[in-house]
Amino acid sequence: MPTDFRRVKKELQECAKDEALTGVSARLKNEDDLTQLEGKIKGPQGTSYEGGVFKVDIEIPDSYPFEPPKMKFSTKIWHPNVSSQTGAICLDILKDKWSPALTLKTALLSLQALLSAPEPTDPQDAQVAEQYLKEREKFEQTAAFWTSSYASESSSDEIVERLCGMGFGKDQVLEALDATDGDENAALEKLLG
Amino acid sequence: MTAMALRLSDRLRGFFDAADGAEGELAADPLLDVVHQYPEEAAWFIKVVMFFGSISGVIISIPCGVFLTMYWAPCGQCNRPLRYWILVHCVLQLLQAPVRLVFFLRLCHVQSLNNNIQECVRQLTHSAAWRTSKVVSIITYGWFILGIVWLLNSTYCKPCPGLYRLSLAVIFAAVARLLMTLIVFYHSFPPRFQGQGLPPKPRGANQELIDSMPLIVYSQEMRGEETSCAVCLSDFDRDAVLRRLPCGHSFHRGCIDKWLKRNKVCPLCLQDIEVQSPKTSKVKKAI
Ligand SMILES: [Zn+2]
Ligand SMILES: [Zn+2]
Repeated sequence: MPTDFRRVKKELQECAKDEALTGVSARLKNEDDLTQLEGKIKGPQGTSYEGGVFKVDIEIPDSYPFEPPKMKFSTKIWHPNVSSQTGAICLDILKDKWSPALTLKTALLSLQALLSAPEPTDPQDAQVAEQYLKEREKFEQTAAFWTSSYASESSSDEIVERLCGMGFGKDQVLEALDATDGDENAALEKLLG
Repeated sequence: MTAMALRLSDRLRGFFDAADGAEGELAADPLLDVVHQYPEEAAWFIKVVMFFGSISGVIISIPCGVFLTMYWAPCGQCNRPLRYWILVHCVLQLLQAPVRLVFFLRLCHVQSLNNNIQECVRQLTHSAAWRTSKVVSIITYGWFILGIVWLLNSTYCKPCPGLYRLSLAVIFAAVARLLMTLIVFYHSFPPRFQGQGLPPKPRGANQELIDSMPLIVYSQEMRGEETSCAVCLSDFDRDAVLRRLPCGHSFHRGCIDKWLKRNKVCPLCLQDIEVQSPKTSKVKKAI
């Protein structure tokens, strides 16, 4: 069964519409491959993940949407339902509770909800889950530390300032950032190229 | 002399420690993920398998060695080189025994100290010893298959009747060990884990059941119902053929049929299509 690429394209458009509102986004890793995507989840406010942006590796299987997209965190994260080593996720809708009425956006939103409300009784990482249950304060500290170490993204203003500081004009910088989806390194390459 | 022994022991220890730069392939090791999720169970499983693996390898090799030294020459007249097969099989087993034993002892040691099992397994699985052991394992399996083929093709061997029986016994022992590994695995891990990676249990509908769901033709006049298909996310065209499920939800016929074959629940409300809902009668009345 060939992948329903029309649906994937539609989902990406749908996702882009309210990115700022939902705090989740998805984009293709490269233009002409609709099976490899990268999702981004903003850490929910009021949690130890606040201020972090967590990247999610998304692979669209051949039989999508009849099978769930394969997702795993590529940003290191300290969470009972995510492997602290591999980023593997334990979430029922990404396994046997998948329904084709779910989308990349709803799946990413579910992941965001999982960040707000971990389920330590159904852990992916036993060590983290144990800490979550027994030493809550230490857990929050570790999670916050991991967030600031691995998931903090400079705000766009900071990036613009940094690039302008290298001697590029502001319009030029904004244009480059716009073309590279705000990726600082890619923008710099573009400016230099 | 002491210095040499020290250097040798250092070298040996290096063989069982993770090589630097192996960090990158960390994510690719499924064993580590299992260990992460169920550290106690995984440690127990690895210990049992390693222990029996090394012991059984040695136990099998001893009678084989004795037999081969006694009857090496007469066995050469049999029509298949089963004597070489047994010899190589035993050598492979003996090669693996020390590695397995070291793994077993290390895990016991780590557990008794209450140290981090994950870290220990990570180090072991990234060591040169583990990789070598993996290669030897693959060779062992290939050699094992070859032995079965030779055994099936061999005829009764007058000069050395014991060889056939010994080969058979060695093969049975290997199969028994494989079975034991499977049994230990099923006893080690909670049932939820065993389901992962395996194909999901059949929970789809057959064509007969799917065909029993009514087909309808979409028209704009149908009010208060979906205007798009939740499976392909496209709007319904005029005159599109939809299938309506007992819960009242409708989808493109092609879209929903594909899904129901996999899982006989409504994608939107997750209701089993074989369970009649009270809502059905209401929907019918509304029409
Ligand atoms: Zn459809
Ligand atoms: Zn329904």
